[in-house]
Amino acid sequence: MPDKPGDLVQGTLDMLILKTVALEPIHGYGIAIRIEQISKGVFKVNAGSLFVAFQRLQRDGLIKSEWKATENNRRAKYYVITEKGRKRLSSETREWGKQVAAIARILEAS
Amino acid sequence: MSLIRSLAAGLRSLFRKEQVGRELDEELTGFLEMATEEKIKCGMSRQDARREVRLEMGSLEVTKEVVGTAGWESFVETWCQDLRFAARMLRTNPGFTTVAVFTLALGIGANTAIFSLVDAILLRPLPYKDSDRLVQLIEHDQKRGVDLDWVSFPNFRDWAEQSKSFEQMAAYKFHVFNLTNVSQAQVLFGIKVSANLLPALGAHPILGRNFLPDEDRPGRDHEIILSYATWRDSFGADPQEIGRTLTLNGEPYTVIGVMPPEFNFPPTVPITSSVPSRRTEFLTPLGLAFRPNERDWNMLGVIGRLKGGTELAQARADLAIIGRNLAQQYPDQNQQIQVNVEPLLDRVVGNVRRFGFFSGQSLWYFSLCVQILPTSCSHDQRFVRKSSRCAYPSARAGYGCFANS
Repeated sequence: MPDKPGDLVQGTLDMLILKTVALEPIHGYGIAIRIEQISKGVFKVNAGSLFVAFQRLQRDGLIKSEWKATENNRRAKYYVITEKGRKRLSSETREWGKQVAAIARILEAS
Repeated sequence: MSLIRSLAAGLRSLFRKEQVGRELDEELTGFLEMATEEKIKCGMSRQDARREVRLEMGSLEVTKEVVGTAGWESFVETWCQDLRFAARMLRTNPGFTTVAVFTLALGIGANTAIFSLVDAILLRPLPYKDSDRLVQLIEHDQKRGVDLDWVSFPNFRDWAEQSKSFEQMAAYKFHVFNLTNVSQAQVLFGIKVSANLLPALGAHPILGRNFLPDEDRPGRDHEIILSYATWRDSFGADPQEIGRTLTLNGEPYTVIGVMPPEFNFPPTVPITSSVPSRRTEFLTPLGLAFRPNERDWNMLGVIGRLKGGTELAQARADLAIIGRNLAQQYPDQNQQIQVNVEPLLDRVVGNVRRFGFFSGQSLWYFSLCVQILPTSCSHDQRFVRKSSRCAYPSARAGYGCFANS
């Protein structure tokens, strides 16, 4: 569990990236910003781990990428979720929900 | 599927390294610039924004390095670099190279040689069916305190008849034949065996048949089974050889079978592969007449196959009683004679220990040689440390050559 704010729970970065990419095709910086914004600044993703995760997800065939122009007319690599990635996201979301509920039950036990 | 994809992606970054590097560069630079613009929008000066982003992101080079070394292909790359570095060091230092190659060769060679010996004599089971049930029966002369490997025919027959622990008990003795009715006369070394020796070993001729119980009697014992090598080398591997008559020591013998190539008995241990031990070239029946007063004529090797489920200790107890009875019955010849039962493998290995090339020290030699390889490695390593004091990799890193460049 995180000691200092901004650290991710281990193993959740992939899930967060998949979720972000599932909303719409988006470039690397967009993903970082969106995770930060939606989590209201709780999670700050380090660029290094973000790009390593992109590489890993791409190799697993969960996302793919293409170069496109941004709204500011800059060339950027956009990430798109694949069918396999969607399946993985939904199964991981379900699993996560189960785990969170279980942990909550344990912590609330008196 | 994802394995293939990962393989393809890895190969792509290995062989199209520049393009992959450029793409990553562009993506990261884009990331950096977008972050900077975002900060400018919030009212920072361009310079401050840049500085801030760089502080947040850390060094671009480090990020590239982290991403670049995350895939499996970076291992391959590092390995290739190490190999190139090693080759370079070896070339610049031929003296060290010679010493290193020589010590390693010595270490590996000694290990291989000793291991093949130890493997042959200590680790491999004997080449017979269920060989852990095979035992050798010997006598122990308490009066003189010596083991007698050879047993008299009457004692062997009494053991075989009275014991209950064995599926088979069989005997053999060494024998030499002069083969004369061929183009070139020849000496053959082999064994005379009781008719049940091959069944006791679980061995069968590949051609022809085994001896019949009836053929193991005086006067009816003129059959011969050839070893595969003898059949091949002296008789041209001719299947028609079965049924032919050979003149051996001036008497006619009928060839009734050929053993498989791997068969050999008694089991022997090759000392080195270049000096093979003599292999048995034929088997012929013992054909011994029973003379009860010849109990001190020790001439037979005796082996047994334990009944399934019979422990060695049971067989020993069984034979001990028979031995004591025989000692009482025939005090002149059998007094002070004990019967010992030993696993056949122990006897074979024990022979090597006692009479073999290494006179009982093969294990000691082995442990010595096992130490040679690590010693020669550490020897080389010491050299490497000494000769790499130029701190070559650190110097490269100091000039800004990164592991991936």
